[in-house]
Amino acid sequence: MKQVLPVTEADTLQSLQSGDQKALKLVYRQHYQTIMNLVLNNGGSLQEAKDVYQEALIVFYEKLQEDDFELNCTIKTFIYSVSRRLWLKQLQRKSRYTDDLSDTDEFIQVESEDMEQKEDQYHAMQVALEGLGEPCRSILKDFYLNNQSMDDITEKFGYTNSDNAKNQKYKCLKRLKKTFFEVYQKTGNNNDQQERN
Amino acid sequence: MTNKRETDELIERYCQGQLTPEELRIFDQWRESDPEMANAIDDHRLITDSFRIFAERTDLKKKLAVIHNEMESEQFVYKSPLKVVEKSDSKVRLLWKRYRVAAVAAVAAIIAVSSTILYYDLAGGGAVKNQNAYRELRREVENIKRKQKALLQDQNSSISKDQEQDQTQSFTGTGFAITSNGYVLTSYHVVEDATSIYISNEKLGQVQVKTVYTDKSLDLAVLKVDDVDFKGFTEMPYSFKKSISDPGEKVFTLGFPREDLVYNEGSISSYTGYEGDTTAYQISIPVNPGNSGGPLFDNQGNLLGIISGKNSSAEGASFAVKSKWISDYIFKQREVANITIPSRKNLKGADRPAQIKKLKDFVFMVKVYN
Repeated sequence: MKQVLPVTEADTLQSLQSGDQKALKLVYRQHYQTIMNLVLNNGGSLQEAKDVYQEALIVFYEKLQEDDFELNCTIKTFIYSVSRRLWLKQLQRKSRYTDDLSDTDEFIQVESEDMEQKEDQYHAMQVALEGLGEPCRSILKDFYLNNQSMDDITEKFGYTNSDNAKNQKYKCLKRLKKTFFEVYQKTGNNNDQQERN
Repeated sequence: MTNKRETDELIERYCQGQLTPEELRIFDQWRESDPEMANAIDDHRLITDSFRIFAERTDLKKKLAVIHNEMESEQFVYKSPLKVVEKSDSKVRLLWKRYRVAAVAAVAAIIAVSSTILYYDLAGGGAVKNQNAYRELRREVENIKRKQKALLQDQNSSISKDQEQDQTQSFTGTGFAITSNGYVLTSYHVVEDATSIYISNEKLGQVQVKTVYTDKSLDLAVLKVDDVDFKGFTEMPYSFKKSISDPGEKVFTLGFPREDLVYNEGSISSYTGYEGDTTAYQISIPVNPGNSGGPLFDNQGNLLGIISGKNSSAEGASFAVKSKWISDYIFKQREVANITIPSRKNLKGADRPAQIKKLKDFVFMVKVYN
């Protein structure tokens, strides 16, 4: 059943969906205190509170960009629930497992598989990119992130012809894939193990 | 090799929908008959998808960091630490009595600003001209009131640890660049117990730094810029003075006792610091909370020392750690042995305003959250 949102919430959601920077700032300020308290009251530091909160906001923001996403609760409850889930997972990692947090707000069960997969993808890509030397990192970033053409790259990196550049890109991508899949599969396995515990 | 590369490029073009109808027909047949091909396509999609996620998240993380910093700096509490040594405390030389000094400064600031408002009120009434300035001033007062409130809370020892943790505590001090690739020197007591540290000035904007090395006894901390977009400072204009300076030598400092850079001058008063401390000079420069960690220069723009504190029971007695100790001791330590101490003398002969103009880009406000 779809809950009717107050006008302001709906407005906020719409602004966020359209990438409005001010709305993001507003939402950030509105809920920071709540999440900070949640993490601090459950054995976390200020730095950890900040990290959890920002990760939760990223999840929320990414969800909003999905076409079929429907928010069935308030923004606050959603962010609180995601943060709660993330913090529980962190506590689990620190092997201080508990499913009993001291809560200050109501929360819903959030589907975490999807958001964990994205986090794993992000993490694996980050590690793989960091592990690459130059010029590989810049070439791949230019091609895949900055949407530059192979011709641009040939010129920018001073290759004699575009075939040389393509060959270099191919080698770089091969190396990136290797690290990426190593890290990605490892984190995937870890998650499985944790689920079973 | 080439064959594999061609396959790869074919997959890439297929995923981007760039194959010609003829190519697509052949490719589809291949894809259906060869399970390895299907896997390769899935892998490629996962990679490009991960690239997209990485790009979006990196961008969003940057935005959130900016929002967070902005929020934190608005809640800023000016509890700038300054090491104060008192006669009565001879045993505990490293005990900073920062709160008292900061509180006195805050009260003094309130009085100063309030009387300015009174002046505006009496003289200008509702004059349109003054309205902008008036609003500015009021915000300042609100700020300082809040700061003072926070200070009083800090002094109140009855507040439980939990409550204290709820509040982001912030300090400011001064720091300065020692290499063009991002190493910065400041006082240890400025960054003590920090969870995050930022440096900022007009030219640099605000960037995050991390602690690389600290020495509690000399009260020094070496920081390094921790920001992927950091391109480096321009070339260091000053050098470290390796010899000891004599009393009477004219010196000056730049620092952030408030949000803007403040210049102050004086001279070296003694070869030794507090209670005969040979690692420091006594100097006659008026310093305030927030000046801690600031550089001390001579007339030629050589770095003589780093401001560390003052004597609360004597007028005009401040202290600065000698540059000789920084170069002879700190930069001999393993963690920071790779740092080359600046040795340029670009400021020699220039008049003071010209020197400041060059120096100001290398002096930063150090903001500490803990």
